[in-house]
Amino acid sequence: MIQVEGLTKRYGQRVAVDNINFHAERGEIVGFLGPNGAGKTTTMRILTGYMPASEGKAVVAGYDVFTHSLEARKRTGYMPETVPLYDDMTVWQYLDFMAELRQLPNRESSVDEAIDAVHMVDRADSFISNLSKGMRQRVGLAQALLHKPEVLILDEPTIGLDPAQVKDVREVIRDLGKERTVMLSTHILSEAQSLCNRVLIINKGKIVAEDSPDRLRARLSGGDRVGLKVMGDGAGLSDALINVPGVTTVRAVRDGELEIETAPGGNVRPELAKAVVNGGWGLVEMKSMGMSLEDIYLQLVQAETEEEEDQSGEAANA
Amino acid sequence: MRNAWTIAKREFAYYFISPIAYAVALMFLVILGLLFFANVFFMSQQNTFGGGGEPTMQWVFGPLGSLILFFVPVLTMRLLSEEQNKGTLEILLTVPLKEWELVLGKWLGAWLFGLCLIATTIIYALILFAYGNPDLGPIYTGYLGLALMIGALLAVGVFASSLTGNLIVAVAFGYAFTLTIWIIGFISDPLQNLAAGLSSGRSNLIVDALNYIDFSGHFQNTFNRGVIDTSDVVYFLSVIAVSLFLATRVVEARRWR
Repeated sequence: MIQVEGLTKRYGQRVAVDNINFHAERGEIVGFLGPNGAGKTTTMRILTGYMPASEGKAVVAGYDVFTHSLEARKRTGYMPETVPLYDDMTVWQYLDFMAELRQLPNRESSVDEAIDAVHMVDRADSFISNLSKGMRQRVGLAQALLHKPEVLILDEPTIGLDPAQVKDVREVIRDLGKERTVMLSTHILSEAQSLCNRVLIINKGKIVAEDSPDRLRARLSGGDRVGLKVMGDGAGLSDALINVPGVTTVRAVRDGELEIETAPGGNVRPELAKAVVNGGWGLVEMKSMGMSLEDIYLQLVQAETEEEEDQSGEAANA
Repeated sequence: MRNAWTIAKREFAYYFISPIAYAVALMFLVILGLLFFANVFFMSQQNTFGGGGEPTMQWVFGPLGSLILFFVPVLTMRLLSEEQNKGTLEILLTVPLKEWELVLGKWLGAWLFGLCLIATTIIYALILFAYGNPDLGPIYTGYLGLALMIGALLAVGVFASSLTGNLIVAVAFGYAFTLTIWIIGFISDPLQNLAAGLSSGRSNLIVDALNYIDFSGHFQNTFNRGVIDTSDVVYFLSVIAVSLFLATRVVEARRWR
């Protein structure tokens, strides 16, 4: 549904998107994750035909976005980050205008369905200027799915919403993702984790990792992280646990609570439990903490940055 | 083409939703009303002493021809400028809408509104018919000329609006462009004298060209006197075509920035 090969975008000297490759299939929700200025919006603008790439190829819904832009645009729904709307129109008028521009055969029912999909039936006749940020976001979403596009491209769809609205919008997106291809950008990691089948981590215009959120976590964390809670203050426990084979670090969080990291491979949790019980500490709780996507993300983004600094340092020395 | 009509309908409706239309209409009708009164009063006094003539719509069309110059940039400034600064252009350019359809639609919406403004002056024609016997011919040609002229001015305004995302800059460009082609004929007179002095055929060509580009000459001397000159019609249509073409190219070029 979306196929991107060697896509590059330069603004003068600055390279915003640097030779990226990826694809997304029907029924997939792909998350585009990265810090601000990583090239997420630029990539999306290229995919929607708003701006051309400097190099590379992008195919959306079977049509090349450069050579068959109109055909590709017909099959794509796009919600820009700032959700630009016309304040002087009501929700219904605006969607009707967009439906007319898209030349939909049954405008009225398309508009009604889109309003229904974003749960705004009761606000259909409100002027857009009177809507809250969350409501505007939903109108933007309704606009993007008016024509039931095969591909939906959403730039930061939940930014600036309150938690209840975030939950709402995510549910709408999850629903849509069942039969369409959804590509969304975000810098909220939990969102990517809960919503996406696949995550692309992008930094400085390059894709630094691509996988499902679960596998990314497994692949990159390697070792396990275990949280431990015992009765009392747990004096001497750290020393006992560091001697358990496979344990790399032990860190006391507070009295009676510890965090243990283990080397990759093998499950040391039974050994840990044995050590605690044998030592006479009362075991209250033990849980696997895993590495959050957040840790992985920071690791990747920082590693990239450090690598670059090393290189430039070497260049300066040489 | 259908898309251009969709855009035009929205723009036309917007004039009536926004206060711009009413502010412009107020200015337009007050000034025109005063001028109409002054002209009619003056002519009626002339008639008392003999030497006047039948009433004529030239009393309205004359000042109107200059007046539209002042409100056209106000009508056009936001057309493409606001789409740029509010970011709505991003949505318009990612739906299956061609740039020329967008530009044509914007102009068409503004032109329809301009025609409505001009149509309000029919009331003066009715007043004149009630009390006198004005000649119909110049009224028809006058309206045709005004419709073409305001269309051309609005097209220049649309082009000005395509150039910037800033409304103030857009209105400034609008005045700069429309006023320039309005007064460009002014420099043809001194040039003509110069050319006569040098008696060089080439300078005359430049004088002719400047006179042709000059806006005002294409209305006051022909349409407003009951004459339809094909070259004037061609002139206005080409101003419209060139301005809208340039505006389209500017919108297209935005993609490459």
